[in-house]
Amino acid sequence: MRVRVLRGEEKKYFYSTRAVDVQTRDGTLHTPLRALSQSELDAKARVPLTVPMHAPVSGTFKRMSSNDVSRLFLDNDFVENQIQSLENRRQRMQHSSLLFALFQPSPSAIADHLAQDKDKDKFLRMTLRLQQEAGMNLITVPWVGYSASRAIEEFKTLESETEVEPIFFLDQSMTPDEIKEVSPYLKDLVSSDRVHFIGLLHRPVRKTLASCEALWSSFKDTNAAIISAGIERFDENLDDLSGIHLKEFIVGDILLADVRRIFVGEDTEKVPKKPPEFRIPNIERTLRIFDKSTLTISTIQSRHSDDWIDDVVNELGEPQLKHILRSRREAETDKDKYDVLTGISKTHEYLSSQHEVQVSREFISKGETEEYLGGKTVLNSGLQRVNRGLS
Amino acid sequence: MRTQIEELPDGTKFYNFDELESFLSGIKEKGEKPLLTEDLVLILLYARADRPIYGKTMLMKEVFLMCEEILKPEGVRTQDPRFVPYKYGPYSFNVMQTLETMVVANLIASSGKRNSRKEAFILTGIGVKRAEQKFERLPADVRESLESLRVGWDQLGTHGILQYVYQKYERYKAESEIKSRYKDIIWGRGKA
Repeated sequence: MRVRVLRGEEKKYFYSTRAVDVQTRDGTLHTPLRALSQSELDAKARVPLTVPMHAPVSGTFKRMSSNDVSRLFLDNDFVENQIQSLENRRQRMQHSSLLFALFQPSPSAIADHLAQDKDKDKFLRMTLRLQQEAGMNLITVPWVGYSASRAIEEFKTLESETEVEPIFFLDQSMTPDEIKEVSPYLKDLVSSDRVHFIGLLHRPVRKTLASCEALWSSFKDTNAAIISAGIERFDENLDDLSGIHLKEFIVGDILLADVRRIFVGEDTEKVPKKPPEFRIPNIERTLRIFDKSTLTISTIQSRHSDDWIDDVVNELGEPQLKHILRSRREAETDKDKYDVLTGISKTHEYLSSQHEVQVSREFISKGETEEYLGGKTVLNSGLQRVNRGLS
Repeated sequence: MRTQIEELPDGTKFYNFDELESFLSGIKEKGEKPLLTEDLVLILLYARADRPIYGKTMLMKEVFLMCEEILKPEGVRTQDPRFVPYKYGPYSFNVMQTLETMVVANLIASSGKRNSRKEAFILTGIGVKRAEQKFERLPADVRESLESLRVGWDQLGTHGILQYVYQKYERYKAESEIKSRYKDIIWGRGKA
């Protein structure tokens, strides 16, 4: 495998982005690119749709809650289920050139169960074993909240002990000083061709601007692809701008979304998983669809016409979806229908957004980033607001 | 000698000698040889030759979808695999028997736990050579659809592909032992 930075583009207080080539045994991948997530793959199966979701990179991002971590340590059945589920996803994602899975403990799980280094070590051991058992050929090392110096120590041990290539994840909310302490070690690994990817656990950009700046300065010329995982679907504070399209111009070459929030509307902060009586007050205010012209994921209520239906039908190549989307109000009282709409929304978003990232890459690799941003008003203003701390 | 064509529930027909001769000469007149059941399995696996199909259920459903959604609409003539409604939806005894014969004949390699979702079927070197000839003779748009939809089907996984098949080809769901797991979702009836 070989990774090479083709071009980096930056404008102070506005944007930073780059184009990177990753040579794999299946061919060359060009970044920035959107990776396919397990959530998007499941969405397609839920509708179900046969449209291929072409994805050079696929990733599973599993948030480990406090309860999950506790079960990981104590419950054999839970561990076996995790392995089986990962094996199943590995099979379904087999057409991607690169595949990875991240088991990332939540901040509360770290506080509850991984406060001591010996527990952090145990968590890493367990999740590494789990990935190996599932046959993954890239192994991720989650961020478990070590100090920078201890992290380097652990990375060294893991790098020397694992047979497959590790992807070490850093947390975007690490302080700039911590990033500056860890990055020379990772850059050494990259220079000696031992790692080709650097993982980055996404956090809201406006809360981590100084760290993003430190990450960009540390790695902008490094010949390793930065995988940014767990990116929020959209940002209400930035006119529903897609998180993937914003992050592309902050830091990250391979972008993996955390598409949990499908229907979060103005009047329903969170939809319970299994409500006793299923009811969505107004599907028009909760169903969100990706708009490739504005790069936003806004509610259909905010659209001025039903043109979005044609866009979805054309992208997914299924004419019968028109009937489903026109009957969408039926999903307000039917969980199964609601799940189908969820699936359509996510599948459409992946395909349409992935194509749009490809378009942006053309501009970036030719040094024409400003021209691209000039045509994307919401993104342009979003980047300015984020960088000035206004969002 | 039989005077009437007999037909079994799976669509298998018995011909007398004269009828068979006339049937075969009909095929000859049309020129192109139809794809045999073995060819169907070969071209399906060849469409993404470096990636296996996991599990017999997936393989069976993918052969079914290939026939229904690519070969039939494109007018590609095939031997009828005789799909019938069975325990997990559409099933062809011909395809299953052919698959097993192809594994024994070393055209297909099978690895992983047998009869599980982990059993991987992939073409061997000999299988690739034989499949290549069949595949290359297909019209370009058929080849393209096959390469693309193989990805689309594989991504569904067993659960997703069953959901798709049960929803779209309802008549094959009749004998399914697991049909209760797959709900019919009918749109256009108004709010419940």
